[in-house]
Amino acid sequence: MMACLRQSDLQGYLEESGPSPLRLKVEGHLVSCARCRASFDRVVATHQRVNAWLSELASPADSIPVDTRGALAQVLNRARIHAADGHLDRLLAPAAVEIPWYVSLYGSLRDLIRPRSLPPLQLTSRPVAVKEIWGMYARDSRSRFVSVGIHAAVFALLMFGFASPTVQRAIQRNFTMLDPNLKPFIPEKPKQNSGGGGGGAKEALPVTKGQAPKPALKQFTPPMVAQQPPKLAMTPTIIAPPDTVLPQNNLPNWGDPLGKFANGSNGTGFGGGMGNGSGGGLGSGKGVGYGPGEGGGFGGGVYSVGGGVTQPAVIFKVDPEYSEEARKAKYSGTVMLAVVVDAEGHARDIHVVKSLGMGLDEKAVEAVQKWKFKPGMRSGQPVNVRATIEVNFRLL
Amino acid sequence: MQQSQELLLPITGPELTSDHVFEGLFLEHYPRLVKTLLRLVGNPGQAEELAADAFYRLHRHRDIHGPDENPAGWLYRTAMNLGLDALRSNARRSRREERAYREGPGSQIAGNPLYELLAEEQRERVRTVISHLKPVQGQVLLMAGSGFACKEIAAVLGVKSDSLYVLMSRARAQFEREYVKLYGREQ
Repeated sequence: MMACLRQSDLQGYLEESGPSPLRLKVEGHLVSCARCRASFDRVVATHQRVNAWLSELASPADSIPVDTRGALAQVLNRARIHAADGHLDRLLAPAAVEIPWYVSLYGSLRDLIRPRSLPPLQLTSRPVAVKEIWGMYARDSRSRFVSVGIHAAVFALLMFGFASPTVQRAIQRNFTMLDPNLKPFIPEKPKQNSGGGGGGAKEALPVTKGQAPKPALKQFTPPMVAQQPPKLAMTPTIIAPPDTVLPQNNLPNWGDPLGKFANGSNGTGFGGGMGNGSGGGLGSGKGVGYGPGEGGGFGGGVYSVGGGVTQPAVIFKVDPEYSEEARKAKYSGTVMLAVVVDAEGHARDIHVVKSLGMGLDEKAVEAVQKWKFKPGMRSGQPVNVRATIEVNFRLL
Repeated sequence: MQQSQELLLPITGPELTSDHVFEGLFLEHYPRLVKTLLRLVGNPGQAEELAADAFYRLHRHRDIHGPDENPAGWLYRTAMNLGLDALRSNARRSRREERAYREGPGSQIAGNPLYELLAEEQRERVRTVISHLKPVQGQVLLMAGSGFACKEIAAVLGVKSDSLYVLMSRARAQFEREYVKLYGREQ
């Protein structure tokens, strides 16, 4: 029995026209094969349906005229334009440009190990004469004259316009010179009280709250809570300027006006007086004044020179040593120190105001700590006085 | 004018240059290619542009890779691929442009408006189905529907007749399946 037909044979039978070996073969087989006839019917149905669908694509627009020669001219023109720009072809030609990576790697290694000897370089490029562009504008005399005129006008305006007497007078009227010295306009800071004092009787309780004694230049008896009535009553005082304003209250006993409790205690301090300090004063300081300071007065600070306070003077002086670093550098200068000369004539609370560095600051402090001063005096009494000391470092 | 004289030169003869061969190919195949592409894209202007672009690519292909053994086949394959790409692009384009073209003053379509509208809708369906096929299947069906003989189609595709019949059979079956899948079997 003859083998059944393939789909391609059936399709070829439909596609071909006229007598052909394929058509004869298909016709002969279809007569005897019902199965192939069924397949052929399906192929024919599909063929007709698809042909009907494809025939829908034919439209009246198919009959439009086509300008073949015009289109050819456009294509050739486009090709000529592209050919004029030949580097695009070189860039777009992959077969001529792309090299496999292993070939490129081998070439690089070969050139690295044994560079190929290249033929001598032949310069084929030649200078091309180009049009001179920078001299084009130089021949235009009008532009030159306009440029010179504008510059001259600006120069004349600067030299004569702004320097004219009218302009100068206008400037003088508009500008008022101000005195840069603003000191008269700065309000003076209120002078703070300085000094202080303290005392006590080594009692367990803190000092009692009471009325502060009067400030006076001399002290005959310190303020204390009297355990027994004195045979000769003296008004206690603290040493401070008479015009010093102390905190006051109306309590009948002496004591610290800023104390917390009225307990009749003289305080935990010692040396007479009241408070937790030492000396014959009142408060937590040291001395016969009032407050946390020392040396008399009121306020907690130290005295400054002036206003009845004399300046301390040096009575023993030790020259400062040079630091090794400053000596090697041949460094010289002045260190300014702020000190407090206490009533014993020693400098304490030393601070460097103007530094030199290279270890000279420390050397200056060491030297001043060894100096002996005659303390500043106030009302004949030595007091703590703030002073400034300049220590010079000079190499011979 | 000199350009026109060049175009009028005969296209046969051993002394012809490659440009003359190209001109002969152009004059022979351009109108037919335009009509085939017109069926595919449905726009005469776009069909002419695609055909010209295909010829331009053929010119460049010849400059870069040398003359092809089957330039007509290369040309039709390229043109069909360009047409299919344009067809897919047209499907994404707004339908307003197509409607404006159909209803515009320059439209070549005449007759019953309703009939023409339905016919154009049917054409759009067929083009959509073609765009869903493989490129070679679309080329085969389009060329067959445009009246190309089997030998011409085989020459364009570079296959034998037996292979072409297999290809055509599968393309038609695939076309029908795709059409039924998209639009049903009522047609």
